[in-house]
Amino acid sequence: MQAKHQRNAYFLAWSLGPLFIFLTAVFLGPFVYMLWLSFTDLSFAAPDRTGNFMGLDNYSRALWHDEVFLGSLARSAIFTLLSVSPEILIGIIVAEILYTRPIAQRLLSPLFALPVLLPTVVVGLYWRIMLQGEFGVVSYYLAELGLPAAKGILSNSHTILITLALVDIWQWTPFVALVLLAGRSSLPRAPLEAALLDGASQLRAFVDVTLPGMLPTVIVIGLIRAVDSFKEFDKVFILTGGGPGNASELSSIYAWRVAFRRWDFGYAAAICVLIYLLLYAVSQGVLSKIHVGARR
Amino acid sequence: MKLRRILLATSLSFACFVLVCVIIVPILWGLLISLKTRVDALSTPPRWIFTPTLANYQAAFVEGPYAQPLLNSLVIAATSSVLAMLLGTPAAYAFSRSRFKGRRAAFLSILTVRLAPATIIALPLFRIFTKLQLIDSYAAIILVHTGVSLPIAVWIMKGFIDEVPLEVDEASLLDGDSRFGAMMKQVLPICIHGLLVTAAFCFINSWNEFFLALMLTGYESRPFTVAVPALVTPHGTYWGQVTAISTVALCPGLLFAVFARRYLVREVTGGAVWR
Amino acid sequence: MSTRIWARYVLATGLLFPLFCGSCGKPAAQQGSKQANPSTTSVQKASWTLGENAKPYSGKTIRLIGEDYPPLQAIEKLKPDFEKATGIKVEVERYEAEAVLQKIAFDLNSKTGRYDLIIQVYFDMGRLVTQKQLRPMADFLAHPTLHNPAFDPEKDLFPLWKTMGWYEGKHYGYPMMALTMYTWYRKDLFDDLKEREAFKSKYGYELGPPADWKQYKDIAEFFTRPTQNFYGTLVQGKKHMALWQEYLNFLYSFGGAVMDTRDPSHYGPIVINSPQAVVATEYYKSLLKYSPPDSLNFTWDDALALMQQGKVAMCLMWSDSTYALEKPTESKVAGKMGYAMAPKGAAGRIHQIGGQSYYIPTTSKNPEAAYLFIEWMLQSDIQIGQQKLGGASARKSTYETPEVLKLPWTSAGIAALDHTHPAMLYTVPESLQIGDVIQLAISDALADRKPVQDALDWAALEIKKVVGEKAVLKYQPK
Repeated sequence: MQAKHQRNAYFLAWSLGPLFIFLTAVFLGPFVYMLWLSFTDLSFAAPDRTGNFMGLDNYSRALWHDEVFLGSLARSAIFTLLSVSPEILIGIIVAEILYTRPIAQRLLSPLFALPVLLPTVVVGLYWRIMLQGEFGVVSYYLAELGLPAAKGILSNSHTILITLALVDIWQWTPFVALVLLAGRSSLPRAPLEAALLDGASQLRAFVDVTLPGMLPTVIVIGLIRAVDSFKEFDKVFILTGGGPGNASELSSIYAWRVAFRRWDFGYAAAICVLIYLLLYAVSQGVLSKIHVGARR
Repeated sequence: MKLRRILLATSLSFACFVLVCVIIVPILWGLLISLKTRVDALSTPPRWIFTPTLANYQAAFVEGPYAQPLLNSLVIAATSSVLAMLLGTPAAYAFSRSRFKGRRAAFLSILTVRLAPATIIALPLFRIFTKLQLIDSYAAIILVHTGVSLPIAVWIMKGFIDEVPLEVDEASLLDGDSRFGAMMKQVLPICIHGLLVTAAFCFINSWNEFFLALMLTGYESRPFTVAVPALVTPHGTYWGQVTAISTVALCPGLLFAVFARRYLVREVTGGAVWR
Repeated sequence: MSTRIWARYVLATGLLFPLFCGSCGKPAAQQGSKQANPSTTSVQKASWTLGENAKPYSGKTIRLIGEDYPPLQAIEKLKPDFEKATGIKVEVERYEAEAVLQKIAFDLNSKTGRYDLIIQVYFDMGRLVTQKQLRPMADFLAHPTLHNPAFDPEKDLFPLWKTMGWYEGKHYGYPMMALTMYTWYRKDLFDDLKEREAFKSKYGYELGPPADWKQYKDIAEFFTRPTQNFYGTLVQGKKHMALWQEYLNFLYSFGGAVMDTRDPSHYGPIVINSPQAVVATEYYKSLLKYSPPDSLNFTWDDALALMQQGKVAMCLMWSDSTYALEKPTESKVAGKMGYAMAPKGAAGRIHQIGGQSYYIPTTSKNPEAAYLFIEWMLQSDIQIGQQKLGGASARKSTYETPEVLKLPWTSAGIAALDHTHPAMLYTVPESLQIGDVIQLAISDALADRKPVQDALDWAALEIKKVVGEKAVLKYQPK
């Protein structure tokens, strides 16, 4: 018993030790600093605000007096929902289609990597030139097809979040499909074959057997995508700058504006901590839905 | 019945075709713009037929400084994803196979670095790495990108390892292998496709990142995500160069994807034995 | 597994941290911050030569950072001459505009001292000065060897150098660029007989470069032909610095202002919601009808591109990018353009002043060498060289050379520089923040998310919040 215990400790030490040593060494300091900053008034514009402690002022301001911030949180949430849910849905379907068609899989999987090989800033620039109302190729053909509104697609404050979500969907869906395909490939075949032998239809078997099997992968990739999408900055900043007005001002753009336009680093830190806490809580909630550990 | 089958197959192929078009057209359009003069690139109606020119490639890579940032990006992304996989895979294995107190909290805490918006965390990181004089080398940004990639490495890898039945390890342990041996010899070969996809995800993660890279690199070590926005100038965006650099930047990843695709197919994984 | 092991990890990490980082740190190769003390005894010579006076700094390296566009690229092309003459090495870091702002902020506020010379938008000057991050130029001007007596900024530079380099009566920088905005118009269409006739019969006066804002709107309306994909004018309406700076032309020309002051480094009563400002904003918004449908996403970038494609008849645009419109390889309208001053409003013709200035940070490790470089860049022949590579020189003599004089846009640019308001873009520490408020307010107004009056009232209140006790509201918002 003693030996087994020791062996287990040894196992944990070499497998988890380096990871946590690394994370603590590189990030603990900066993280604590950010936390501390959020209780201060540090500003890069006012010489008397050198980082004096001011308790929870920043937090109460953000939560009770700053409608712009709360609005930006809501927009981030909407943007995340609009972008990640189609990505996962289409991803699952495409993964299933590719799984059952090895030739298509062989031909298409490299193509599916293309959009994510363009960095996000470049994706923003590509779509800017394609959606630009006067010389954009996409807006031009959409207008030709009888959608004259496409000529002002980035100027429309009502639909801008949808437009931006579509760009995000273009960028990430193929890769999500690839990850899900890998997850799909790991599933044992026997249960599915058994279900089919029992006379279940293809669709039934997919819903009853395959989908639950893929669920852990789906949740993990969904969570990682959702976190990234909630923090989306590069594409939106290039495409709209948060406008028109603040119609597409996501929380990360607002945080940037507080830091680099108002130079209010204390307040920006508080906003970042709040975003962090929100995402942490959501992640914890999602995590409790999946098993941490192999299924027995 | 047969008719329905054919209909279904046709519609599926058609859907695939549309999907591929949607994925590929923007990238092809970028390629076309990179071969156009500015006048052609911004013309309406869009020009599909034009006299191609390599001037943009020359401006970006021969006269301009953009070869170095591309190389920097490759080095940073490759190193940080290898590091993340080296640190992350054993951890993922441990999270999958072992139970201990505080496991859930530990598992979640890995995500921490990824959850915090970069805007503020960049400031202390900048101060520390400047003190350590690591800004002008790749070290600072590689370390930070490794940290940001770790949740991907651990979380997704764990998902793949979870799929491997415990009997595989147990058999290996009974044969006298250590835990490490079981992981290396038995478990990882089975989920090699997962390993590849996860590493690719980490690579893309670093390849894509902008803000931390801006703050934590020097001019000579800046990756191309930082260099390319400089082409958006008050004297117009140099669209030709933006697309030329981006088109070239696609090549290494695309080559990798072509070579790696066979590993996506499950028959090659060697795991067929236990199924 | 016990929690003790975790505690041990954390402990071990604390010990490992310095070790870990120490091992990857590369040796401090940068030269120390010790300053070569120039011999103050040297007698000032009648003829000042660069090589002689730069001797104490020979072998040093200065690092400068700025926004990546032709004027800065020009510096990179011109610098070998300076390096040869002085033995001082110049390293130029070129980034995108926002990146420059962020890198400089991190560097200066962390007292890192990476940059010896910064090229920064001038309206951010006050923020740097109040934080004691800029060296006053008086230090160098009083220095026995650094300042070339032949250079007299007061006489040699345009008066805007005061706006761009002085803060509260003290001298901190020199302009790298003297930018302004004026009217770009399609001369070929304005000269076309058929168009002229049609215009006259419709509006009752001759078609020509717009003299006032009413004419500007008439002409814009006249040329707006959406079915032919041709528009009368364009508005740079994206929530972006471009909107803020274009809008100010209208605001000030109509007799409005953001704050009522003529000194950019001083606050004045907040008047952004004055009746004149409302008229100006309503007018500005009314131009959207004659501007392409995607105008709320346009910046100077799109403005230039659309003009180059010949899709717009006339607009207000920046002087420095004019050359790109006259480049036949990039533009369909090269040789077909005319340039004129901005139309007259209630307050006359008023043109925006923009651009970046050279500043020397207090953390600079080689301030003397950096100063030598600034003065060298401002020499007349170097200024002409920079101008040819795509600049907009702040030195008067540049515009007296035949090559520059014969360019079709030079006269409009010089006239525009004569008709400016010294305080359109403030240099007070909150300048960028004020600009951010204006961008948002005007963007809201243009997008019809708020009525003009409400948007401006909101802007007034926000600016009041930003500057606090330093300024009062002149017009109480409802």
